[in-house]
Order: sequence, then structure tokens, then C-alpha cells
Amino acid sequence: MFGKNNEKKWYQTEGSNSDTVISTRLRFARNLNGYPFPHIMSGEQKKEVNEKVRDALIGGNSSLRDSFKYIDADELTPVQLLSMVERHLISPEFARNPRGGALLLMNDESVSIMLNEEDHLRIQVMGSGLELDNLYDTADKIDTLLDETLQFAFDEELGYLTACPTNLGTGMRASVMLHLPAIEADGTLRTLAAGLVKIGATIRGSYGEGSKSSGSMYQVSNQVTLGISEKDTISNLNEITNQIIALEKKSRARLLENDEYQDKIWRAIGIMKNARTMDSAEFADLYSMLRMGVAEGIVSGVTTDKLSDIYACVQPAGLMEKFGDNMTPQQRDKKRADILRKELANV
Amino acid sequence: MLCQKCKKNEATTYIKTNVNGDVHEYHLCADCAAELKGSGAFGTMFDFDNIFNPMSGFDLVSGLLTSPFGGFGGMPSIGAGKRCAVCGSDFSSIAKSGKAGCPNCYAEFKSRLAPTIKKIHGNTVHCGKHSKVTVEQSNENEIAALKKQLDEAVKTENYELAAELRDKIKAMEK
Repeated sequence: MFGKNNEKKWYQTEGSNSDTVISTRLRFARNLNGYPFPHIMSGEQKKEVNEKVRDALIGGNSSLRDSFKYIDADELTPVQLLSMVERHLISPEFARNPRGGALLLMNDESVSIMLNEEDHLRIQVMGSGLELDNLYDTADKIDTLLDETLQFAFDEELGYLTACPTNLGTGMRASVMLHLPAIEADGTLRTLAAGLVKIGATIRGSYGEGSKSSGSMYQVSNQVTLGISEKDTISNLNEITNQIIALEKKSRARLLENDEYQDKIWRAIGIMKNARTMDSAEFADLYSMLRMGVAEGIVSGVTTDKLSDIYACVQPAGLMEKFGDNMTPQQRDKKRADILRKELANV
Repeated sequence: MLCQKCKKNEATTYIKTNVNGDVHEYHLCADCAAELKGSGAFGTMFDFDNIFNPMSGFDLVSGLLTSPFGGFGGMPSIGAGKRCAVCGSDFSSIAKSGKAGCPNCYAEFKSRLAPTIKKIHGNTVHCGKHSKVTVEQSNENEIAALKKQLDEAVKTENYELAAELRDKIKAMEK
């Protein structure tokens, strides 16, 4: 369904700090006055909210009319939903319970507005480098546009009112996805995580709430949303991220002096270039080694940009969306290995 | 410096806690620090073992996220049976789900939600972006207040102030 669109997606472009930063995301939680929150809404009310937001964004003569498409979540197959989770367009929670929900998706997939997930609106903006400031500007513009016609629930003291009190205030969650193999390996990450909690930030697995880290991918995000402005939140997170990146780079330099560690990278490449079948867990670990090798200039013949593209292609639902919904896990593992052999031929 | 707790051994551990701006500092010996750690006196913030595991740090938070109001479920309910005028939720359903029923619930159950909100975010109020609707509303409130002052100025024949106020109101009404 989305393959037909030939526009380059945001994750196919290389961002700044691409050796450690995989992507950056920022979202605003917003709700409409006069409606219950989605967890106790009727189907009819959800429909009304979907239509109100859709019309506010792309109705009439809106300048964004041709930039977004409206997608009814009820019309998506489970595979399409999962594929969207893999591309971070929707949350795992939304995919589990899509009933009555909808999605406003920008053509290049850099903006996705989930309707009736936990809140009436989750305005999410994504980019490939460390670009929180740019993402904020985009989200802010869309929010301001919607604010012109929609009646957002807002309180002078509590800020934007959200279903869960953890999002009160700005309703903003900014997060940076980082590849941190070195500080994960040498234990620095563990001490770091403790410090982050104390300054109102968290670090967790790549798919957000409750997810585990695979392939040394971690998401750093702000935790507190009330009493701190959007700009301050972003500047704090930028500072934290830059410190983590500096630590990771230092650890990488130290680790790579070790022949055994370099050997691990070459072995990973050997397996990826020759395997006939590979499950997603094994792929995540090997990919992590390969990515680090490429980012540190040890391995040539492929860019981190291309690697991100390959990564998206070989995720389970991504494969099924492209090669058939009824693929068994074994068939997927075979296909994954085929793609890797082909794409990494010049490495 | 001697340990503040046993007052016998040399203090080797320094602990600073900050709960909603309530700052405490402790200088403890290794034994007393270990004892505190065991007793969980500092709650999850100072769960020394767990805090070094990034995922468990998250789990602690996610445990909170699932039902931030959960801890209040067993409290004697003041004003039990009160329901939100917009969505019909009562406080027990909010406590159970960890989510407010609708935006109006925050006004309806303000005093009962306040401790939880304080626990999550600290003792603070919103700063940052404001929704246009309220900006307009607060403008209207301000204009109403200025008009009152204008009436007063006219009544007391303070025409200089009245002219000033009139211009201000005009500018705001544009």
C-alpha cells in the first residue's frame, strides 16, 4: 500500500552523527475538549474526533491537503500494522488495539498523527539525525495549525490535558535512538542509566515503553513534561545525547584497539555475507557489529545510510508486506539471508 | 566525618535525596548505607542494584505508568460517588485505569489528583506552549479587568488614566 509511493522516506536520508544516532522523534499529545479520552470513548465518538482532526488538517483549502493521507486503522491488515510499528509510524499499543483509530500520514512518512491511541491526537515527527530543534519546529507548526480550528483541552496550571497524568504539561516526548554497542559492552551504559533517571530522562529499548533493546539500540527521552518548557526539554536532551555520544565514541576507540573485538566485526560480516537463513534476533546482533564497523571506517563498501535502509527491509512485517502475508518464519529467515547476501556483496 | 546514623564509623557514603524540592543530605558509613539499601528507605530511587540495570530502571517507571493513581485505590474515599459531569467517570475508575476519563476530570477531581500529579512531576505548574483557545480566553479576561479599571477611572474623574486604559483595550480588541 505504501510501496507505490516513490518519494524518498525520511529514514532513507543520512542525518548528522550517523555513526551513533539512528533517528530522532518528537511527539505532542493533544486532546479535544468535550470528549472522553479514547479508552472510554464510543465508536461513534472516535469517528467524530477522527473526522474533526482530519478536516482541520487536510479539509477544505488546507495547504497540507496533498501532503497527508488519511488512513482508517480498521482497514489495515495485521501485517500492515506491524510494518508500521517497525517503521515507528505507530506505537505497538496502537497496533494491538487499532479499533476506531486512524492515522494521518505525511507522504514522506516524517510526520504521523495517530488518532485515538491513548490520547485523541499524537502528533509525531521523525528525522534521521540529531535534529530535535528542527523536529520541534515542524511539530509546533502542525500543532498551531490544528489549534486554530480544534478546541484543545488545556489548563493554565496543568498545561495540555492528557489521558495519562505522566504526559500533562507540554505533552511532549522527545527521543533519540542511539546505537551504543561500546558503552553497552564495557558497562558504562548501566551507570549512565542511573544518572539519567535523576535528571528527568530515561533510556530504554528501541520500540519505547516496555520494549527490550536489541542490537544495542537505545532510546533516550525526556521523562518530565510539567513545569519545563519544550525548548528547555530539548536543550537538556541535546546536551545529554551529546554527552552519551562522546562517551560512546571514547569507548569505541578503546574497544577497537582490541584485536579480538575487531575480529568480532569481521566474523559478523562473514556470517551476514554467507548465511542461508537468519532469524531477526541473530540479525540484530550481527547488524550491530557491522554498523559499528562501517561507522568507524573499518569496513567499506556500504554506508550507514544504506544500512538503515536494509535494516528496515528485513524486519519481519516489512518482509511480509513485500513478499506475502502468509510467509512462515522459516521463509522469512531465508528471505532475510538472501537480501543480506545480495545487499552486502560489496562489503 | 562520623556516620550520621551510628555515629561510630567514618562516613564514606554521601546520599542526597530530592523529593519534590525537599532536599536531604546524608553522610553514612558503609554498614549503615548497606542497611538503608536493604530496608528500601530511599524507595526505588536508591535501589542500588536495580538502578544500574537500564531496563529495570525503566520497569520501575513503567510500573508507575500503568496506574499512577493505583496507590490511592485503598484510601477512604472522600466524596465517593461523585461523577465527572462530562464523561461520567468516578474517582475509583480513574484510580483503576491510571487514566483520567476526559479533560474535565482534572477539574472535577482536582484535589484528589493533585498528590499523584505532584508525585510524578514535582510541585510545579505548566510552562511552555499555550493553546490558542486559552490565550484568547486570558485575553478576554484581561480586557474585562481593564474595562473595570476604566469604569473606576471615569468615576473618579481620572481622565488621563482612562484614556490610557481605553487605548490599551482598543489595541487588545484588534
